Amino acid sequence: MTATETCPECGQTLPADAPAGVCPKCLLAVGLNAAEDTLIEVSEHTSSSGSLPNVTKIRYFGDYELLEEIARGGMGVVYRGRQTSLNRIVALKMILSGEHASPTDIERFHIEAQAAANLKHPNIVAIHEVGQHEGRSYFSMDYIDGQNLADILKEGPVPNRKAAQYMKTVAEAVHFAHQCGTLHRDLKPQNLLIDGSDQPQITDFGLAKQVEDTSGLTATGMILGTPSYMSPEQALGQADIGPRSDVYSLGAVLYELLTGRPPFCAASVVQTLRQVTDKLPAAPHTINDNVPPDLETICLKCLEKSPHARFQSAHELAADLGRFLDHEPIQARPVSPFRKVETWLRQRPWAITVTAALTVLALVCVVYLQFQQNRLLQYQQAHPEYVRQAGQRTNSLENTLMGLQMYGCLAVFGAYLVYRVKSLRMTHWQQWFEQAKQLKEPRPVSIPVRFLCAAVGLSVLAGVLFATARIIEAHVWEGLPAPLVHASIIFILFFLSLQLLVQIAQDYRQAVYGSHNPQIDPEQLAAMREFVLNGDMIGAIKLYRTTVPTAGFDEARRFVARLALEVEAEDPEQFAANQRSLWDVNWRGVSICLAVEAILCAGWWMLRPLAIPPGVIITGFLGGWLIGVIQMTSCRIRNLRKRLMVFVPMGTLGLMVTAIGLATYSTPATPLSSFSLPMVGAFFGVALVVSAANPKTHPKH
Amino acid sequence: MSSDQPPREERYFATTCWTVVLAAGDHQSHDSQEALARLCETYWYPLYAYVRKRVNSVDEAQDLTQAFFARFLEQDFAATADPERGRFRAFLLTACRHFLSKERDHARAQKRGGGKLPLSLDFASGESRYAAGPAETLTAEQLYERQWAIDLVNRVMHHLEAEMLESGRNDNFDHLKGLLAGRSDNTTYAQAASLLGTTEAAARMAVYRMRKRYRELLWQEIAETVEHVSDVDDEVRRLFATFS
Repeated sequence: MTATETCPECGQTLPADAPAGVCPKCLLAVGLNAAEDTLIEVSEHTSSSGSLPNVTKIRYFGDYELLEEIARGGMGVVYRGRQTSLNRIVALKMILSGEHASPTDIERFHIEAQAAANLKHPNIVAIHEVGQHEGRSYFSMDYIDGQNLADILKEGPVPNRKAAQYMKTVAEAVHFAHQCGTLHRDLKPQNLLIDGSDQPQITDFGLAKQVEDTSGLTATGMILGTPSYMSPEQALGQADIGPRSDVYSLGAVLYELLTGRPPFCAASVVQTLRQVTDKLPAAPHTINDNVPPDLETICLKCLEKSPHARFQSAHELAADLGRFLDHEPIQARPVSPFRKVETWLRQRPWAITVTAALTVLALVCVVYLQFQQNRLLQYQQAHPEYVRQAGQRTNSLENTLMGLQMYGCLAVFGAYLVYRVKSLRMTHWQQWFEQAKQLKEPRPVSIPVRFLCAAVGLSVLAGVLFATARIIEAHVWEGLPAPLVHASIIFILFFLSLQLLVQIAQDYRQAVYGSHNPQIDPEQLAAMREFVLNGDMIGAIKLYRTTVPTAGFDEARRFVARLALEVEAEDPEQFAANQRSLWDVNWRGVSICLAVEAILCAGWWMLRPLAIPPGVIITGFLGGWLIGVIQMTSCRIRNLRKRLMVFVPMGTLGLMVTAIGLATYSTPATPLSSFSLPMVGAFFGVALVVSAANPKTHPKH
Repeated sequence: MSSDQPPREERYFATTCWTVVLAAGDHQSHDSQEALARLCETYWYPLYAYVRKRVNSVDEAQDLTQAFFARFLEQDFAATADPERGRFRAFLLTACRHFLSKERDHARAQKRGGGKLPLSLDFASGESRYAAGPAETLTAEQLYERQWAIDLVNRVMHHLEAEMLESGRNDNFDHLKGLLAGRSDNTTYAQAASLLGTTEAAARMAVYRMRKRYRELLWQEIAETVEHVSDVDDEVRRLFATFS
């Protein structure tokens, strides 16, 4: 027996140690349905008593003679049978595990029957009868003599036009069901049968939900469906599942018909769900060259993450497929680069906020610059003898910047320290290094402290804006060279004070509106733990934020960090094995950053806006890169003490390199602004390296 | 279902796994020691697969598995065993997980196991099974559960084969085992019938009986590893889920 053999029943790869060469999965499935045969046996005895033993015993179930088992689903088993009173062949679906079925199972079974019974359509399998026999619920429906699409797909992708034809018919039938107020919610190749006249038939409305139904059975929280064909909103367990979720599933089936594999398929259910919500599907033509662009466009439009971007109804999808089949231009459009950027931004609201804020700030600066230039022109008309040269404004600017930088930094850091100590209720300085203390939910600090800290942040921010105005004035009136370099000195201060304000606002929001001890569904919690155990913290944070909609990023991050501590304590070995190692970074990105920095250094030096020795610039940028690397690696070190042990010597080294560079190259003539260059370099380097090392790739498993 | 079954010689524990483990903790008899050793020999492979996946080295994995069972035989675990916690499968896995993390902290220096293990664990065959298995794509826990399920069904099929051999129906087993899992169309029943020299209906009946007996055996086998008989169905469902 080879390991590549597959089970003819369920398609599972047969393990080399399969019991007696029979698929263990199917054998367990036999055990799963223990109750079913006993009941049939009862019917058998009652109906055929008196007949000879061992002669063709016919198995009866009520009015139905059971001929053979044709399928097994999550809840039911389907037989081919003959309805004796009408002498017609039907498919008979019974709920599995008879008396063990929970009320939920039975209710869901009946909903399925109800949903399908209301639908009369040539491409939807019709329901004949719904009933109960000897305590077992069943319903009978048309028997379709043919294969399902999953069987057909075992032989590889389906020809393009045929796939389009199938899906057009299916989409029309699904649209009809939607019109009747029924969602399918579990469209997949297994549920699409191809009958004798090569027409697809939809079956198994197992998860069907009446659009107006309010029983809550499949409403929220529970993830129902088959992960590979599930829409992102279903995968997230959201409640607003609508016709467009079925459109997504239709797209997923079309994708598989064209390429031979579903759009997303990973080793475990959780990973598949993650891919469904986060990853873009590979373009079908990259898997199968023969897929025409129009059909690919239609398919990918169905698979859009946002329901608004998909076809708005199954009918629209059917219409576009019809256009494709008639060689007419389709209405779906491939995603433009602009839309891609828009999608990217939509998923990252902070990027929009930051961009908008910076744009407004830049606009204000430009307006002020224009205003000052206007004033200068007016002044020059009145005083033609006026010459732009360094004067009072430039001199006072140097002092302003020096003072602002020194006192501003001290004030912001002081306020930050006081604020942290107060909000985390620290009593000893050692608690700065206790992870558990750092991860505590912040509590509201007293009003005076909060206002004091916010006032410090605001006044520093105001100081920065004031200094920026002074720089612009000095530049316009006295020809101050390289105003941007001067501005970069206070940029850092601007950044720090803004961060302090944001921190205060976030903590306040968390303390007042945050979700304290949110009730998390055990299943979701288990999924989060699995993410954490696999080293995928970002996945866990995302899941937390979708589970607890009121949670901010900070709260989610703290929750996951605490969860990580727990998981680590339970299974340190596995946890450690799945963590990304310190040096497992995007090295290509890091080297590109280094190259960008080098080019910038060279460019800056060649332009020489100020008489700055090249050494200062180079040390600055190199120092920046070094700090970036430290920053990037230190967040991987989970123990705070160890982190400090790495950070302090490396940081000292960086400072020493900078100091040596400055001492060697700076001359008394070097203006103050040249000191800002290393700082700009440092910040730039940090930003570049950290963004390059962003764990875009999947964590190793 | 199981009450009317005659006891068979090849079944080593008339009682459940829990009673064996708990009895071993209470009194040191030769019998309980032996029963415990049988238990280990029955359930060793899934644990080996688990350890092997975790440590990723053949020698280390064999060493650790030996050490784990040595510890197990010394009845270290009897004290922590608590049938209230449910399944024997889960208990073994938890015990092994704790063992591994403890072992990592303070073992390497000492010689593990002591070399007096009264068990015959066939590591060579275990390793070849591991190499042929789906170890690549699964996590250690999934691997453990799947191997547990395969081993369980394997044992049941062995019992079934032995029983049928005893009653002189060995041919039947060979020809009908493929139909045991059901869902076959008429042609294969017809083929089996012609191979056995009977009618198709008789073949169907034979498969039906075989399936019934198989279920009983499976039920018994699982009943040994759970606390309450009522948990059996749930356990089958869980084991089935390991393949999806």
